[in-house]
This record gives sequence, structure tokens and C-alpha cells, in this order.
Amino acid sequence: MMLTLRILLLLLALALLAKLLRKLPTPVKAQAEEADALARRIDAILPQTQCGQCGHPGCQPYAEALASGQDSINRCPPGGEEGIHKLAALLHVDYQPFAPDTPPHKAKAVAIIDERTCIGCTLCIQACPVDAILGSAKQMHTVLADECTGCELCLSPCPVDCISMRPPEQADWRWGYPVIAIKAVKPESAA
Amino acid sequence: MIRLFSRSGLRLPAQREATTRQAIATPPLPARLALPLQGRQLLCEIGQPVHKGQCLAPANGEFSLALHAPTSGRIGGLSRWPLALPQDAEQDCLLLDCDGEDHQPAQAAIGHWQSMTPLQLASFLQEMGVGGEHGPLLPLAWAADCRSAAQRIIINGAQTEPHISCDDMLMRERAADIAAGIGILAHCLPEAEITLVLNDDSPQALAAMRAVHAGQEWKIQTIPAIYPDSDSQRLQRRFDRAGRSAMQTLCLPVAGLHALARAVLHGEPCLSRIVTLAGALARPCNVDALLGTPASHLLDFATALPECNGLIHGGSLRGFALQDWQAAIHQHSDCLIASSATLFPPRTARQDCIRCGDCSRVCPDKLQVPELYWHSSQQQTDQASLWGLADCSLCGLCSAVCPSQLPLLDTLRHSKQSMLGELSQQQSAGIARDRHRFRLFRLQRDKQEKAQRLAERAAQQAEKRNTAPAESGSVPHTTPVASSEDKQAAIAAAMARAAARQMPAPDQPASSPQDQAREAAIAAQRQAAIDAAMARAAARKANQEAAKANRQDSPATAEASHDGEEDKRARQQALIQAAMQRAASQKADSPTDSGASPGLDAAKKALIEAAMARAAARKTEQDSRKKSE
Repeated sequence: MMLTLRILLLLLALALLAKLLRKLPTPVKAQAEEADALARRIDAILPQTQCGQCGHPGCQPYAEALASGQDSINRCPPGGEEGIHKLAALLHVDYQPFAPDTPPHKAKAVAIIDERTCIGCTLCIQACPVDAILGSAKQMHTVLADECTGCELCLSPCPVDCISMRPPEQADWRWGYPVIAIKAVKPESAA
Repeated sequence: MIRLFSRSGLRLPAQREATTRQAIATPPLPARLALPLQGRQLLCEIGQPVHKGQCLAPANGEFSLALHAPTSGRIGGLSRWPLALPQDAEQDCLLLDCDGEDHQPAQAAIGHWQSMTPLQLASFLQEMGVGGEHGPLLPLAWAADCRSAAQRIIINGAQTEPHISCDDMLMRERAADIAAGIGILAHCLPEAEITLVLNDDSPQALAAMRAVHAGQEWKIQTIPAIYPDSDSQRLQRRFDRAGRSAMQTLCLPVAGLHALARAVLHGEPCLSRIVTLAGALARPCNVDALLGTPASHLLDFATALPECNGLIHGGSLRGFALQDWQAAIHQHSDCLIASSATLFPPRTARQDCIRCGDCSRVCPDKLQVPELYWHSSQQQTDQASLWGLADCSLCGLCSAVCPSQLPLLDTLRHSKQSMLGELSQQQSAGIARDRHRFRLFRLQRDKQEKAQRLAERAAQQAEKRNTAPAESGSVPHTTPVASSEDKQAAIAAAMARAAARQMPAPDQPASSPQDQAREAAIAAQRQAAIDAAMARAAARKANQEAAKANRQDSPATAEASHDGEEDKRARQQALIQAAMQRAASQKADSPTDSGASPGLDAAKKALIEAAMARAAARKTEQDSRKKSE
């Protein structure tokens, strides 16, 4: 009686162990998947300007470098301070100020091509990471303002310097931050 | 103030007595009107005289309206001009200098409105500039498929924000037009359920609408005047809850119905709107103001009292102060309040939140306003959105009841705006990500396609080479031509080829055994030259590799590399010897013995021997001829 009970218990324990082992995924694969998911979440925070100011050829490679711990979180100027805070919260690391060798943060701007100067060399079209420039050889080029990320990658290849950055046209008015106007009160009128 | 807390919202004093005492007035024409262009294309030129109701710019999108000249005059120019919007937002405006004649050609009603489909009616209203809350009065997307589902249309005649009485006065005075407008809508959508909603605190408007309601199919319903229940979203929710059926609900402002009737029955485009002028004024009233009138002009008409210290656009809860009183009024300007110290006592210094909970109790959306305010003032938009910032309808009740005088509405407005801004930024980032990915994919695809094209072409050429020159017997060998020796070898080979091609030409018909021997000799020479060139090339390559290995290797592994070099040299020597042996064996096989001379001499000797053989043949021929003679 005791023997059969013991055997039964042993079998049960073995079955449980087998089930448990089957549930455990292979560690290498799991790690790769985890890094992938983390890179995707980091990529969702990055501003997708694809400007390469972080030293990587785009936002996705920077996200992968961050996910594998090969780079620091303070290298994305378009993301701004807020971006660093978000990355710090996601990666469970401390906030760091911008690295001294990163370019300064600039307000969002949109490239505009001076169409009188453009010679139609297509160099900017090849440089644009989001295909936001239209035109063909020896034809005038123009920027799709809605698609432009303001990465400034088209500025340097232009042989005639006809591309400039402008602040985007604000489509709508905005409620500003509430400010209480301070009035200067003259001492005579107060008295 | 009596606070009557209801389930949600607040019953506020209407403060309409002053402005509803007299009829809707028509102010004199202003000198200049400012009409916002909003990206529309102009149909007129600067300096051109226009008449009243002339179309100046057509609609350029689903949510755009056509622009008409509100009065006759001359186009003064285009410039940035403040509109009656928060922050005095300047926009590109068309300036119309009024000539004061208000000249208008005769207009006619459109005769065929009975046969119009809802979509035709909606686009007609768009052409006539009749606007609703967002764009045209009847949204085009709604009009396109409104017959697919049961429709409920709410005509919103309720206004519960203090001081605003424009819809009230419109219904009192122009009930017939409004009823005609509802009638047109009902004719166009016979199966729709149309309800006119009124407040229970305006008996005159109710009586006027009841008078024209007789015999009509639509309904009139009154709701308690609890702020902000008259907002279109809240009205829709109220009807959806009450109806309990899957009906599409559309909420239209009562002023839009009036403009609809004027447009359809009289052919008049929408050129003006009723604006309530309230507050510290000598003549508070409602005026029928042309769109684009400067606010200061209306204020002058109603004669501001000396204690007036500011101008508020909108009602007393949600309104905002205009900095520039020249700002032009637009489709959504319902009220202008001349503020004074008695009407709006200056706010005392802002105190800290005392957690009294009044704001949360009064909030119609049942939000925890102190938490929202805290996160919003710290600019933590993501935290604020966790507390339901997206559900805030910005009614301003929390600001009105706050004992600490906190600017709750302004803070929440700013926070909500930045939340929407972040959302749109995320959307554009997503689009940029997709575009970048597609670009990478496109570059990869182009590269693959190019490689495939090149491979196909190379295969075609190889096929051609294999089939075409088989009968000519000379397969071109491609040897790496780099040094002078290689070049010489190549030249020798080419010459040999040329000789082989030229020599058989004179005596092609008779290919004697001598000729065959000569050809074999030439082929052997050529093969030897090629083998030598290849051996040389191999030797050079091995030399280069050895040099590279030397350069890369560190001093520690110098000996190992030396051994490697020795090996390479030995291999190279073996290669050269093998090549030479091959060449020698070929020469031995061939009947002509030219010794171990370089390619050029060998070719020459071959030529000479061939010539000698030819001469000998000729001699024997002549000898035989002589013998026969």
C-alpha cells in the first residue's frame, strides 16, 4: 500500500517537473526576444527624425544599441530632455544630461528648397531618410513639409546651398501656458 | 450666488435680462472687414470691387467653407490680422474696404431643393458658407451615408452659459426661418427623428417656436438649464441614453438652421451672425454682426461704460480676454462681454489648493480635478492623462467654484492642448518610421534587382560566347594583364591568333599535313605563353599575400610568419616549375623544335618555318612541272 502510494507520488512529481521544464523557454532565445521587444519600446520613444546625430544610422539602430547596453541614453538631441527622462524611466537608469559632444537641441524645423536656385542634382533626394523630397534629374525639387522630420541631412549635400530650415507653419492656434500678467504700479497712483 | 448642486453640472444665473430687452440690432457698417483665408484660393484680385454675397474663395476641403463678401466694397489687400481667438492668433486675412452702399444684386431661391439628396444639400450649404460646429453645417461624410442608418438630429437651441443670449433672441425673432430650415431638413431626411432642444428658462423663445411648430413632424423638448448640459456632446449622450437604440446622432446649432433656410429659400449666403454684447455697456443688446467685423466696432456701437477694463470673447465661464480689440469676429463668436471690476472682480493672489473638493463635486465629467491640476501644472501630461484628462470637456466650472482662485481651466486647457500635440507628434513619428523603413526596403530591393539584372546579362553573354566562336576555333582567353611581361604574353598570343587566322586564307582548299603541323606548333606556343603568364601571375599574387602577412604579423609571431613565407615561396617555385614542365612537354609533343625561347621568338620561328615549308612545297611543284616539260 505504502509502496504504491510512494510510486504514485513519485510519478506525480515527475509529471510536474516535466511540465515545468517544458514551460521554461530556452534562455538564449528568450534573451534575444526580450532585447527585441525592448528595442521596439525604445524605438517608440525616439522621435524618428532619422538624423543620425546619436552616431547611429537611424533611430532603430540607436534603439538596438540602447537595448543591448552599448550606448548611453543622452545622445538624442531631437528627443530633448523629455526624451532622456522617458528613456531613463524605461531602462531603469538615472537621468543624465546631454553628452558634451552631442549637438545642441533645436526646435523642430522643416527644410525648404529655394526653387530659383535649385539645379536639380537629386543629391538631397538621395540623402533624405524619409523620402520627403520630390523631384528628378535637372528638374526642380521640393520638400513635402508634412513628411519632413527636420533632420538637416539634405543641407550638406546640396552643391548650391539652396536648402534652408524654417519653423513649421502652425496650422492652428494654441492655448498657451497660463501666465498672470504683472502690471507695473506707480507709487503715486498707489498712494 | 445660489449653488444648486445637481447630479452633475450647476444651475447658473442666466444673466440675460439686459441683453434680451431689445430686438436684434444692426450695427453700422465698419470701415474694414478682415476675412480669414485659411488656405483657400482667392477668386478675386486686390483692388477689385466686389458686391455683397460675391464668392471670394471656394471651399478647399471637406471641413472648409466658401468665403463670401459680407458687404460691397473693394479688396484692400492681404495681411496678417488678429482673429478673436485665444492669444490673439494672427492669421492671413483678406481685408475688405467697405464702400457703405451694401450693394447686392437680386437673389433667387433655388427652385429644386425638394429633389435634393442630403449630400447635395450638404455641399450646397458648404458653397453658401453655412457652418456648424466643425466645418459645414451638415458634415459631408455624414451626408454621404446618412440613409444607411436611422438618424437622430438634435437642433441645439439651449444655451446655459451666463450672458450668452444670441440663440434665445434668434428663436424669439426669427422662429419662422428656423422652422423653415428644420422643415427643409425633414423633407430631405424624411425618416430622421428631429428634435429641437430648448432651455426651460426661456419661455418667450419656447412660445415663439411653439407658434410655428403647429402641424410639423419634428418635436420640441425642453431641458433644465443646467450648465454645461447644453454642450452638443452632452446633449448627444443624453439622447443616446434616453433612446437606447442604435441611432446615429447629429447635433446642429439653431443658428445654422436659420442660415440654411436663408440660403435655400432666399439664395443668401451666410454673411453674418448674431453676437451678444453684454457687460459694462450703455446699450447691452444682440447685434446681427457681419463676419470679420472688428470687436472694437461692436463695442463702440454698444457704447462701453467708462469702468470697462477689458473685452472677453465668449461666455463668462469659458471666455477669454482679447488683448487686441481690433480682432475680427468669426463664425463661432457668440458673445462679447465688456468686463468691469464689479462684473469680474480681479482675482486675489493665487493660493494653494486646500483640498476642499468643490471642483470634483461640481465636475460634470466626474474627474479628480486636484490631481489633474497638480500633474498639469507640473507639465506631466502622461500622468494627467492617466487621471482622465482626455475626458475633460473644459467647461470651466472648477475654476468658477475654486475658493483658492486657481487657474484650473487655463491649466487644463494648456495641458490638454499639449497632450493632443504630443499625440499628433507620435502619429507623425510613426509615419516617419514607416517611411524610413520603406526607404531601407526600397534600397535593398533596388540593389537585388540590379544584381539580378547583371547576372542575367552575364549569363546571356557567356551563352553567346560559347555558341558563336566555336567554329572559328579561337577561344579568347582572359588573362590578368597587369605587368609588361603579361602584356607581352598577351600580345604574343594575339599575334599567334592573328597568324592562325591569316595563314590558312591563301591556301584554304588544300590543308596539307604541313599546315596542320604548323597550326599545332602555333597552338602549342600559345599555350606555353599562357601557362607562363599564369604562373607569373600566381607568383606575383603569392608575393603580395606574403607581404601583407608580413605587415599584419606582430614581431612576436615573426618566426611563424617567416616559416609561412618560406612555404609560400616553395609553393610558388613548384607552381612555376610545373608550368614550365607543362610547356616543355607540349613543345616536345609538337613536331617543330623551337627550343626554350620566349613567346615572341617562338611565334616568329613558327612563321618562318611555315614560310619555308610553303617555299619547299612550291619548289617541289616547280620541279615536278619542269620534269613533266
